[in-house]
Amino acid sequence: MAQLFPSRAFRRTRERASGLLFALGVDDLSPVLTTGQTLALVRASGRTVFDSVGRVSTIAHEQYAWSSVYNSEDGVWEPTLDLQAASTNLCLRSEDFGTAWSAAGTPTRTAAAFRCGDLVLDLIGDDAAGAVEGYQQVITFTGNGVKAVSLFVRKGSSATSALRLQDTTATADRLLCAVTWSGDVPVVTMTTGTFVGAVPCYGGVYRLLFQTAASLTAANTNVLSLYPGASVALANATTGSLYAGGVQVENFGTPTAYIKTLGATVARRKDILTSAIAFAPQTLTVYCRTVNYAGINAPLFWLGTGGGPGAVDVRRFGNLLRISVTDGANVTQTVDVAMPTTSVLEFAAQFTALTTAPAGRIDTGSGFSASTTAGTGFAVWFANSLWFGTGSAPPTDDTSSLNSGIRKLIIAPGARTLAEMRGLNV
Amino acid sequence: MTWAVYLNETPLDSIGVWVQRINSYTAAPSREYPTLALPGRQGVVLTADPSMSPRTVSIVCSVAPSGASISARATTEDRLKGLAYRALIKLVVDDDVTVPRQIDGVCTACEVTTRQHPVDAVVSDATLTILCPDPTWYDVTGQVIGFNAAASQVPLGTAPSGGLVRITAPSWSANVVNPTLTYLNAAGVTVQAMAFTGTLTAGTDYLEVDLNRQAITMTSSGVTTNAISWLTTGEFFAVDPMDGDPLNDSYPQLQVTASSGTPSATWLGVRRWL
Repeated sequence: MAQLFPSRAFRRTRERASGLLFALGVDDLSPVLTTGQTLALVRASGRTVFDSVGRVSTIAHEQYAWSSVYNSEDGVWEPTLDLQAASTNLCLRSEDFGTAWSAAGTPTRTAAAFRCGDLVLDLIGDDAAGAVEGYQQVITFTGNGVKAVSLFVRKGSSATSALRLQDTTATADRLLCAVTWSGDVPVVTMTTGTFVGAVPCYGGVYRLLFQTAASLTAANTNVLSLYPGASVALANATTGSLYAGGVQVENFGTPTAYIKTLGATVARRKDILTSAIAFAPQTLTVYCRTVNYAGINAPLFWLGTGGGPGAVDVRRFGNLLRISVTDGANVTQTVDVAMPTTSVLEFAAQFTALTTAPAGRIDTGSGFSASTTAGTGFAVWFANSLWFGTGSAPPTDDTSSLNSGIRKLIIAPGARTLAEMRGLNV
Repeated sequence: MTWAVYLNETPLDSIGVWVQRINSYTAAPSREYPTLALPGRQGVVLTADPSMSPRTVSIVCSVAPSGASISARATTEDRLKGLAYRALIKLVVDDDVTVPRQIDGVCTACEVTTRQHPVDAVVSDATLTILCPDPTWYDVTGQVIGFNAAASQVPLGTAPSGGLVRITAPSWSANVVNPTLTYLNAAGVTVQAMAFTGTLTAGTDYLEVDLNRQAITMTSSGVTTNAISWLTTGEFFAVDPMDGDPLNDSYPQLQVTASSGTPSATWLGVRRWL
């Protein structure tokens, strides 16, 4: 496999050695691990990623999804290996308001007015003070419940724009928000639904992520509307323009990576990343640095893999982070800690005495938590594999992938501190 | 960040080894040009491209672990020698001024001298000599630069970079037929164009151009085959800072087009410095 860094030219002799048990660091954009294991990636479809300056790029089947994410605390773009669940964009012509969308009033439109890599944004405008103008599309959902809505925007001339998903059968809003601007940064004010976050992209473009209210009924007629020059009151007085595109609506409640559509819905398959492991259960520390994507209930890693005795994992659990140890008697002990609010999540999870009295504790930066109750030791893992997210099982569960990017996952022998693990140059 | 030197994944200060200086760290690698004197003509002519010498870095440091004991000093010396004599080492220098830089090499010598008699010394001096076949320093973080028919700039350091170009036929495109990869200088003038003959099936295929190893492969639904025969015109190139002005954030560019279809491409590479 082709590599970027010169060490790879040494493969005819030996790779760099490492005293670690497992070391995935994505900075060299290589799936080759210095600890010798082989990563396995399965994804039978193309997908999009963000390049190192935040432009949308497209990759093909089985291509590793090196994707960048903006670290707002440090003001830098960080490389990650992005793992996404399967999903389908239900919105047709996601970047072309001139087709498949119906006009409300007589909005103005400049097609493909701004390019952000493989994404183009139309400049749409409301130029009539006496009417609310914009674009609408009927979305066909499968199943009731919370749905994900997302779109890319860039500041135009408008002071306020409105996004709405309305059940026109029940005459009820499932999503309604206003987008205003603080400088060139969007400010989202929700009336109905949940604002998940704004992802900074290239050239002043932001990807806005939403969840609808829980009561969406799929059998009803649900209309997605974007009004570039309107407030949430949908009053007639305001005008203005907005760069918009990359509209995505999904059947699940978690906004996932962008899927470009033309005349039909488009599906993306799940990223399944796993690795075989050959080291035995022992006292060890797992360090993970990943994108802190709130609201996703998925394991960050699963060592030994679940379903039986002899496995450990750390997962998001609502607004908490949960460390789990499934002991030799197949009893799972857990401890929860608060999820940090930073854009980057990093932690050290210590798993001690796995063969005799297994326990785990976790440090997200404010000191180690209490330990899980010590259980029955185990001499072998339930399975000799490491899963990122939920790995390959259950394969039909579309909501249980990592749904974000991972930058480092290091497993070191012994009980080490977060500072020690963070200092490792992987 | 703070000043730090790493051997592979280990920061030296974390084991009680304190770096005092690094020789040949900031020097540019030397170059040699083969020359030929022609009778009847003054001076010489350059007969081939220059060759660049390997870099030899020496790290001068003190072994002074916490605890200030003879046994701790001896243990740390063992650890340092063990780290240094791995088959291949990655040396990372974070000078707290520029971005951290790394270089790969092999340790050819590790001299350790105690400051007192070995039975009485708690501190020793060590010098590591590291031979680096590739003399350029690399950014510790690779970059992914996306481009398509609209050219994108490729940020560089002060040395040329190779990298991997992957040309994809997106699922939202028609099949990509006969793609052309074009390397342009910062002014937008074509420096090199690699034209390929072949069809990339939309959604499943990508063409990989390895500018470091001068290889081309095509991957279809995860199955990779040699595709060097796709290259019909043009030559491999390096993305070179002399085609831009890096100190003023002006860089050479990459672009991909096709006779039909809408190709999308990424450059995976790493900045390099002299």
